[in-house]
Amino acid sequence: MQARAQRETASTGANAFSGTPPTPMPTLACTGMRATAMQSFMKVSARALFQVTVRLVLAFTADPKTVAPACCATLSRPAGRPEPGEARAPALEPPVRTEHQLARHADHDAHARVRGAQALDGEQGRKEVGAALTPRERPARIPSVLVSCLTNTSHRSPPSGGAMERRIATRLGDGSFIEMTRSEIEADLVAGSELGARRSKAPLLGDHEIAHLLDIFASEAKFSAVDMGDEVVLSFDGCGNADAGTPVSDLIVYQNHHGADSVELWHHDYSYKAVKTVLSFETQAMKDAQMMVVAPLNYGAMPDLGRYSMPDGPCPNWSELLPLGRIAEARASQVEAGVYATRDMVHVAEAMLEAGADGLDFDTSGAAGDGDLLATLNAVRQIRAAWPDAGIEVGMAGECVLGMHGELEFEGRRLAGMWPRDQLAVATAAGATIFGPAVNVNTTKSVAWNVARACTIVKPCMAAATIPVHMNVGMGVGGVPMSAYPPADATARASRALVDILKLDGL
Amino acid sequence: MASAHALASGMGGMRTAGDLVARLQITRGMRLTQAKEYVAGKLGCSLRDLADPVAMHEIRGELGLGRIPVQDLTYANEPGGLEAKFHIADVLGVPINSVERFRRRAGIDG
Repeated sequence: MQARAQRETASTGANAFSGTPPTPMPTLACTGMRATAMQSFMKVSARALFQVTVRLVLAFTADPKTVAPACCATLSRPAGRPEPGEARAPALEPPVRTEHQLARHADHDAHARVRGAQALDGEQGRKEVGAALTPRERPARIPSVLVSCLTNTSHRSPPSGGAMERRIATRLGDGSFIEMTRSEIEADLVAGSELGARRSKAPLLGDHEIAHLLDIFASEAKFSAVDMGDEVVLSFDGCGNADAGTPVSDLIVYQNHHGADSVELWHHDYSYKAVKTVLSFETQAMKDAQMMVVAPLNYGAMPDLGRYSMPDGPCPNWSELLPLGRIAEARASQVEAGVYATRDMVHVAEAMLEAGADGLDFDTSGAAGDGDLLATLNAVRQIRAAWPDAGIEVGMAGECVLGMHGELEFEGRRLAGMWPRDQLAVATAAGATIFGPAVNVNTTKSVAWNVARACTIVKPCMAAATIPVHMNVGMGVGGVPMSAYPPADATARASRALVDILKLDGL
Repeated sequence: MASAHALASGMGGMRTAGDLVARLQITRGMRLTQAKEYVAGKLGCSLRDLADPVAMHEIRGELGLGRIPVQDLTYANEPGGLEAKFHIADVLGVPINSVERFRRRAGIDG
């Protein structure tokens, strides 16, 4: 082998990256090809970081066989400006599409993957390469981010001139600013959808949906909104801060000044168990408020099953029993607590409806697990039976019901492990008129990532829904940042993205 | 945050017909499209008008469905609060709990 060839770590015929390869020098044999591809990545990436010039080399190999060096070299392409007269690098497909005489080898192989990119996996790697990694199980569909790198559509130029890919101001899930390139945002959208799909067994978002989300999150506009005609109903829980005026004043403010389509009277101690102790005051407030408020006015609180465990309640504390392995006792305690919780919820609901409430809101249902959700569903069923025209909203606490008991069922369906589509089904069966799924925010990921994940998890609800779906988009859910003052730019994007993709009935 | 959502994707509440559409969802469990079509039919307006504050300001005034006062633009001589809900129940053809209780307790015949 010639010395020059030995020094080349990647070659595409006319274009070559030469230089002193890292020692030990790789052999261009079977295992050496993998090392070569990896080193090509590392070498070019390191050079790019030092020289502030971004170039990308893709080296493809197919599994389980290792393609010969010639085929690998043919498929390896540097990113950069095409030579005069040279066509832009085409959108790459797995080697099965190549005209190379060894193409048929790939036909026998398992799915082609982007090799070497694994060396740049992780947060830093993705920033360097700007590529999304495809899961092993999927055919190697090359994300458009890689195509854009190869086709030099936006950014790549030789060191003599041109600009890097523009960085766009966006937010993380904790509300802090971060700058990301369009490619990075797209990668996050894909990654968020993939994780949501994997966890909830839901389908991935389609390419057109990812593209639409990318348009929203790659925009530098301060604000984003749905198209005219696509507006949805906003049902607010816990209206106001109770920092100026009275709770009834807060309702008027939300109705008149915040554009709320429905409002909710609430108590500071937002728990049906606590409200029961101040019920007379709350019902009077509801009656007074109904005289002044025109918009639908509900009463809301949390089922909050944990309140019924010691020391706050009468039941043994299952959170303490479970780590001790006293499973049967823990389960029995949750069932007992559920009976008390259902009774309290029904008691408060009856009083509020007598006072004139338009409906009830059971907020953060399932927060204490499947026992919490079961208590809520039982209450909903009793209220529906007694009050056929009452509005009943069941808003969830999280995307998956925790199996704190593990074996509780509602009408034959086990509640533990339920995702939004099944949560919707049991809420509908119990008699709810509005269902509110919740997807929690990961504060270390971008808002785009969080929204893509939320859309993926909730989307299966929409085709199956026979009652309105009002997704929870408060602080820390639905992609809205978990911060004291959720930024309007992020909130608006999440709001629009969820409505556009999911075709929600409300928020 | 509430205002951000309202501007980004909300119908507009009492500025428009948002509260009316919401009432059909809450008490009848109607999906959004169905609720909008129902309300538009009852009001005699287009779907676009439902989220148009200019159009709905006139329609709400004509039908006594309640309007939001803006500084010196007040509606003391028009139905508001519970009064407006009487008309809403009538126009939409849906029972409103507070209206029914007021009727009964005030001794007002149906």
